[in-house]
Amino acid sequence: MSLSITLTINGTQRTIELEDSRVTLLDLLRERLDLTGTKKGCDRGQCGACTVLLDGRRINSCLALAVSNNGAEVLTIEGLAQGEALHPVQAAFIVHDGFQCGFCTPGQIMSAVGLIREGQAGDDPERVREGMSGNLCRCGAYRGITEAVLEAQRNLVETGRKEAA
Amino acid sequence: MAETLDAGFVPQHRHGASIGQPLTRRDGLLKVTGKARYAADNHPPGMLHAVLAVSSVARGRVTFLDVPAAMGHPGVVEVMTPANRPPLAPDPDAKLDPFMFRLDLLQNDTVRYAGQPVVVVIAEALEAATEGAVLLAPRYETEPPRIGLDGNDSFIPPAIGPGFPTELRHGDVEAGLAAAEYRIDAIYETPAQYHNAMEPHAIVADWDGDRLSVDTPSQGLAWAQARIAGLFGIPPSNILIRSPFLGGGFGSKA
Amino acid sequence: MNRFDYVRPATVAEAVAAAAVPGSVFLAAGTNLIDLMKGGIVSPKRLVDVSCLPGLDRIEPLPDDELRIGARVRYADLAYDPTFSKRFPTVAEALLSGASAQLRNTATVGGNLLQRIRCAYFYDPASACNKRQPGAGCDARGGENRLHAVLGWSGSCIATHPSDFCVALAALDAVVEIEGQAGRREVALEDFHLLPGATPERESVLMPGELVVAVRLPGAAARFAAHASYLKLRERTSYAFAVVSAAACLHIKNGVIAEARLALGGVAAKPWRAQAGGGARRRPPESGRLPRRCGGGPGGGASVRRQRLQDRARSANRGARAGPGCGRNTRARARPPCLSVRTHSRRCPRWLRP
Repeated sequence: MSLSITLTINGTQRTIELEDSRVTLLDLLRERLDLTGTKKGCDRGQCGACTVLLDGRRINSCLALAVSNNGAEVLTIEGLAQGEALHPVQAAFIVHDGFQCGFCTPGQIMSAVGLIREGQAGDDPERVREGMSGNLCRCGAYRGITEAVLEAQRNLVETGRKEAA
Repeated sequence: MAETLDAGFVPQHRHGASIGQPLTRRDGLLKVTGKARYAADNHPPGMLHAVLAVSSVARGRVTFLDVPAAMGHPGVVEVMTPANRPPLAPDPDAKLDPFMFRLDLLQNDTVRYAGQPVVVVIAEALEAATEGAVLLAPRYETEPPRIGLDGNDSFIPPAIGPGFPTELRHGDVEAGLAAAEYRIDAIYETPAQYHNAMEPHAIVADWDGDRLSVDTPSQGLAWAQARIAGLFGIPPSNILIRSPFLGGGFGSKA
Repeated sequence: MNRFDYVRPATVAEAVAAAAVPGSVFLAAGTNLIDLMKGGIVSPKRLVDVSCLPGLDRIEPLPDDELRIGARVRYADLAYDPTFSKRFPTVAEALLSGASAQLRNTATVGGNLLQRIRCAYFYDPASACNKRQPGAGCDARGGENRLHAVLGWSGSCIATHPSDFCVALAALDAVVEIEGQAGRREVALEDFHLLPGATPERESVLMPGELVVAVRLPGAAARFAAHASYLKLRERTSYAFAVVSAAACLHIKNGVIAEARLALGGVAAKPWRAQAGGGARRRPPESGRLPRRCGGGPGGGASVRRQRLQDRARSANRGARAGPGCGRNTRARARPPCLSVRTHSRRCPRWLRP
C-alpha cells in the first residue's frame, strides 16, 4: 500500500510516500523525518509529550493518523526558534527553569504556544494550570512551567504577538 | 523581558531560592529547542525495530506461540523465542554483583511475572514489529501466582549479597507478643508507587564489527557496560554506553 | 495495530456506502478509535475517514430556537463559541470539564457520543470482558470497580459512559440525527445509548454503517439556560473522568420552578436522567430526588457513590437556582473563586459566565 500525503512541516512543504496507513503523525515525525524533538511518552494521548501544533492548534500527535491529515500545517519544537533567536516561550522556560530532565519540555512548550494562541487562560495561574493539564511532568517542574507560560503570555500579549510562532 | 534570548544569556534572578547565585543551565538551550538527544532519538542507518511480546499471566509456562503469523506480517524479519535466542554467556543463576537479579532473557518458556518478555519481534518498521508481537497470540499453562506472604513456602537464598553465607535465625514471635507491654495489631496499606519517568525505557544497539555501541538512558553507565559484557560475553572495552540525556529515571534506570 | 484499508469519501452518502463493507468503522479525529486500536481492543478492517466531510461542521441556529450542532464540530470550538456558550453555558461547562486541551482541540461532537465506555478491564485485552467477547465473563465484577456503574448495570457489564457532554445534552432533551443506507432518522439522546442488559456488546442504537451527522437542541432547551449548572466530582482537579457528575437545569418562571431536570454522569452506561417529579413546585426542592431505581451496586464503592450522588444532586440543584457559573452553594460565594482542591469539584469557570 502506498499513500502519498503532503504536509507543511515547520514552514516547508513536503510530499511523503507513506507505506503504511497505521503511521501516526508522531511516528512520521520521529521515525521517518528525523524530527525527534517531539517525544513519545505514552503513545496513547495521556501525557502530552507528543504535543505539536496542527493547523495552528495544539494536539496529541500520537493519536493523529498521518494519512488523515493530508494537507495540514504542522509546527514542531524544531520550528519554533528563528535561527539563534528563541521564541519567547522557549526563553521564558529557561528563565523560569521550567524543566529538569527536559523530556516533557518540547510538548510543554508547544502546548504553551497553543494555549497562548487560544487566549482563554488570561493571567490567572489556575487557568493556566487547567489549560496545561494535558501535559504531565514527572520531575515536577510545574511551578516553573506555570510561571514561564504566564510570563511568555504577558510578553506576547503586550507586544501584540499572541499569534506569533 | 527581551523578546528573544541569546545562547549566552544569564538569568538575573533565581527562582524559588533565597540564597545562591543565578546559574545558567548548560543544557537549557538544547532542551527547549528539542535538540537534546535522548536514546530513542537515535536512528543509525538500517536500524530495525524490536518490540517485546510480554506475558499476560503472572506464573506458568508459554505453551504456544503463533510464530508463522508473526513472521508472515509484512516487514517482520525475525521472531526471537526461547527456541532460537542467543545463549547467555554465564549461568543465569550466577550473581556477579550484589544488585543483580536473575534475568531469564528468553532462555526457557517459564513465566515468572505478569509482563515478562517472552518473545522479541524484530521488523523494519515500528508498526510491523508491534503488530507482529500481537499476532503471536501466546497461550499459557498457568499456575496460581504467589503474591502473598501467608500460606507460601519461605524462600531461603543460597547466598546473601556477593556470596556471603546465608544466616538464618527464627525468633519466637508468639512469646514476644505475649510478653510485650503493648501490642499493636493493625493493617497498613500503601498505594503502588511507580517511577513512571516521562521517558520510557529505550535502547538503540549498533554493532560495528565486534564493537557495540548502545544508546540507552542510564543512571549507571559503568554498571550497564559490565552487565551487557557479562551477559553476552563481550569484552567490556568493546562496549560503548551513551546516555547524554535521560528523561527521568528516579532509580528505574540504574 | 492491525493493518486496515483507508478510504476518504467526499460526501455523507459516499461515507455511508463505504461503511456498508463489514468490518468498517468511521474515523473522525480518532482520539478514541486510535487509542482502542493501539490497545488491540478493536481491530477494524477498514477506516472510513469522515473528518473532512462537508456540511457537518456548523453550529446552526434553526427556526423556533432550535440549534443544530454538526457532528464534526470540535469540543473546543463548540465550548468557546460565544453564542453557544452564552445560550447553553452548562453544555459548554460540561465540554470544558472533559479530557485535556489537546484532545478538546480535535475530538468531535459525533465522536463524543460514540466513545466507548470506561472500564480498565475492557481496555485490557488480557481481562475477561463480555463486551469484547460475549460470554467471556466480567473481571470488573469482583475487581477494582470503585468507579463503575451503580445504576442500570447488569450481571454481564458494570461499565460507565465517560462523556460529560452527553450528560448535559441528556438533561436538555437533545436529539441525535443519523444518516444510514435507509436514509435519515432521529433518536432522542436519552434513547441513543443502551444499557448493557444481556447484550453489553451493543452500546448504542446505531446500526452498522450508520453515521451520526448532528446533534440538535430543541427550542425548549433555551428556557433552562439562565439556571443551569454542571458539576463534576473527580479524583484530580483536571483531566480525569467523573466519579459522579450532575447537570441540573431549572426553568424558573415568576419566581417559581416551572420545570426541573437532572441528569447524572459517571454512574451508568449512559447519562442518567433522574425523574425529578412532575408539575410545578411552590418551593424549591430541599434535595435532589434520586432515581427510584438506585439499588445496590455491584461492589464496594456503591454506598459511597450513592451518598455522593445525593450530595451532587443537591449541590447541582442549588447551583442551578443561583444561576450559571455558581456551581457551589451560596455559602461558598464569599470565598475566592478558585478550584476546590479538597473535593476536586469542577466549578463553572468564571470566564464562561454570560
